[in-house]
Amino acid sequence: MTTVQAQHAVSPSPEDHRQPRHSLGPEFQSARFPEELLHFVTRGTELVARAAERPSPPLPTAISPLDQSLAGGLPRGGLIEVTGRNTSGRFSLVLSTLAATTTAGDVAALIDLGDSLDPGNASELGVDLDRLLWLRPKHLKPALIATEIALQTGFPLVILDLGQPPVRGGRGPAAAWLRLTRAAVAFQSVVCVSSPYRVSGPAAATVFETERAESSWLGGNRAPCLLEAIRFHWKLQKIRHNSHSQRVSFALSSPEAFLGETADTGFVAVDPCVDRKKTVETELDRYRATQSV
Amino acid sequence: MPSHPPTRICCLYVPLFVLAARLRCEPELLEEAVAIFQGSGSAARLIAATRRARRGALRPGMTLSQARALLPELHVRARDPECEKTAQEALLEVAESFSPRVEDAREGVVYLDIQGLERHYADEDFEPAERAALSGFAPSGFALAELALGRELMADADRKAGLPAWAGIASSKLGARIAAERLPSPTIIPVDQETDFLAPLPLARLSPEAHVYETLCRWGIRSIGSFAALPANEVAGRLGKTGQQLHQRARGIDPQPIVPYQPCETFSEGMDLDWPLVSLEPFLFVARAALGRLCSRLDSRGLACVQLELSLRLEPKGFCDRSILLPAPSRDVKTLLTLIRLDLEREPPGAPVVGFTFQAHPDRPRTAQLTIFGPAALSPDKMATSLARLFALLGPEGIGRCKPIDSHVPGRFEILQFEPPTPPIVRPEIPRSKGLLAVRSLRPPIPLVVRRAAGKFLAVQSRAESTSSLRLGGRIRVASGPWSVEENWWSEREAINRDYWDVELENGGIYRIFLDQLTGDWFADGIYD
Repeated sequence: MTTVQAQHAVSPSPEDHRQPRHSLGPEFQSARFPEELLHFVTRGTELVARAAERPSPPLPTAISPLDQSLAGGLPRGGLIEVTGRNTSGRFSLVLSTLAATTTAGDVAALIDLGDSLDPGNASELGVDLDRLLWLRPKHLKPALIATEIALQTGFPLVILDLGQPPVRGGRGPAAAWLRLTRAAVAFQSVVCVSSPYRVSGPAAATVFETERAESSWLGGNRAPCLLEAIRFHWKLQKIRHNSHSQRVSFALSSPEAFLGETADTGFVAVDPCVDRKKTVETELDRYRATQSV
Repeated sequence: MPSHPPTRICCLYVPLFVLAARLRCEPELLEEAVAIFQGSGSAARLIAATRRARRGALRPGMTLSQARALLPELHVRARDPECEKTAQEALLEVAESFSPRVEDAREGVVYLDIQGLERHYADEDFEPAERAALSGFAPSGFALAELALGRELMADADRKAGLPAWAGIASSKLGARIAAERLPSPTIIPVDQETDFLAPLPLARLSPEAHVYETLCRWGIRSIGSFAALPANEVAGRLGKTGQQLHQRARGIDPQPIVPYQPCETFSEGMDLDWPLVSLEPFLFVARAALGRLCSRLDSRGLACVQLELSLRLEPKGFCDRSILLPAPSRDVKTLLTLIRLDLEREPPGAPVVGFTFQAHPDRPRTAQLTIFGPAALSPDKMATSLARLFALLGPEGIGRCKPIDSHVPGRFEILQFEPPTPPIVRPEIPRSKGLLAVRSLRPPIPLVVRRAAGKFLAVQSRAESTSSLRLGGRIRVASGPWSVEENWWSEREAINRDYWDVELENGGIYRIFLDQLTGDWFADGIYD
């Protein structure tokens, strides 16, 4: 009788929305095991399998419009390629993603083929430099090897920035990009390639194209002026399992023009940048006063 | 009054140590006919040979030509003190992994104080079948624990040090040493049977001094037992202190306790080569084996290499020493070999190499406490290996953690060792983006020609002599500046006086350019990207 009751307890009823327990062994189907607890019991192997099936959360870029269009951020387990010419916002995306990842306590690796990182600027943008491994190869081949080593070490975010055109070392062998993709899948990491033009071919799961829309200057014409912000268009060209393209647009401010939000964002501007906007505004007021006279 | 437990000494003995040390460095010769010669030219004499060579009628004391005549396929090697030194160190390390009190008796002999260790090898732990198998090696009624300990020591010496060691356990060093030279090994001499064990052995086994030995022979004493039977005070009265100590040894009493070995702070491996090497690949082939042994020894002590020193002996004379500092402690052979390759390629020794020594400065491998709820931390060991590989790939300047230097001049930084802090226990909230523009640095700055008229910027163009692959040029739409930066004005060499401008070109791109007031030249050092 007790055995029959246990079997009833094991077989899920149609209105039971909890996890099915059909794979539990006979040791759990004993009457000695409280029936109400059977709903919470599962095998360790099933837990591991479920954890493997569960998609890892994406890595946010901390740029809201972009994260919204990507359902939370850069998807793990794939190669993401960001292309764009000069002043396209490509490097801003790289640093913003690094800032979001490192401030969350994760480590990240930046393979900087163009030797483009300005640590002071990166620190201003919020990158925790203590958690950033900075690699500066001289050529594309060691850059690809370094990227693969970083992925195999388990870095959750590995960014390969190829610098300005022309890329030193050409486009690289197609097999190398596929190896990076496989390593990213195996370690559920994000490998992001920032390049002036497409290099990774079909290995990339997600491809963005970035371009500058317009720049905004404070003052101007013959008056003193200051670069205030740049508006970028970022076009999602390819995303695996989703063929339609999206277009995202937003503006980024110049650090020199960034004032007044220190309490909100925790941003601490450094000398002499703080003084630039004040200087320009003072000069502008003086200039306008002169013009009105 | 409680009685003290008897002292128990184990002796690890490597037969034909000179040969064993050489074969440890050249394991591919294990099955070959190999002979070790000491001396040079016609004075060279055979001192040790493998079993296969001995089957070919080779005997100690033969000259090289005699040996070659008997065995044409003989592999001849000169005695190598470097091999013997590192083999002895490896043997000591194996002994140290068993007992904290170890004595270095040189020439492939090591003594261990194993008093109390038998508790780890209690008789009850043995299965009946194992007990029966072990009983065959030990005198009847003897505790099997010491036998098991001896077997494990021999197995570890073979596995970790690559040396075929024999073991003997007794209450004195002399007894242990003589027991270690007997087969089957390990040989155990029970506490109360040591005198009986030594008694029938010839007097020469006590290694007496020549004049003492002659005196004893004149007295008609030929065996240790007959010498031990003499009254102690009479021996001391006639033979002095030397004779007294010899008499104690004959009775199974150690006049001198174990002298503990002080482990050295570095690990070394190396060998003398039989012929000079002039190219890199053959050297790396022999270096790989030596590094493998070195890393294996570090591994057995739970250590890793943080600095590797390489000493090359050159032909006809001279040395070439170099030191390689690793970014993190590592014991990855491939990585160390790559670092050596890069170092030798960058700066060749300049003469054929006839011998080498690697010396590893050990350090504890990195450890970290991982969290359950916080961000996943990287395995410290894996990280150390990867950092060493990246270091070998990119060089010391190409890897690290950057730290901005407090300066008004943008882009200044220093490179530090990458040692990420422990991840937070709980994953923090990701702060909202500051929405700031990044500046892509141009290193080195690109020299420019800037056209200005009446204080207004007109156009900009890369100079023809610019080495950068990036060429920039075009009409300037907007220019903002100047933002003056002056540093170190008191120093002629380090003085900086620049006027920075942000310029937007009509054909796209917003650049940060500066005028060097000291030279009057224009440069671009950044792009807003």
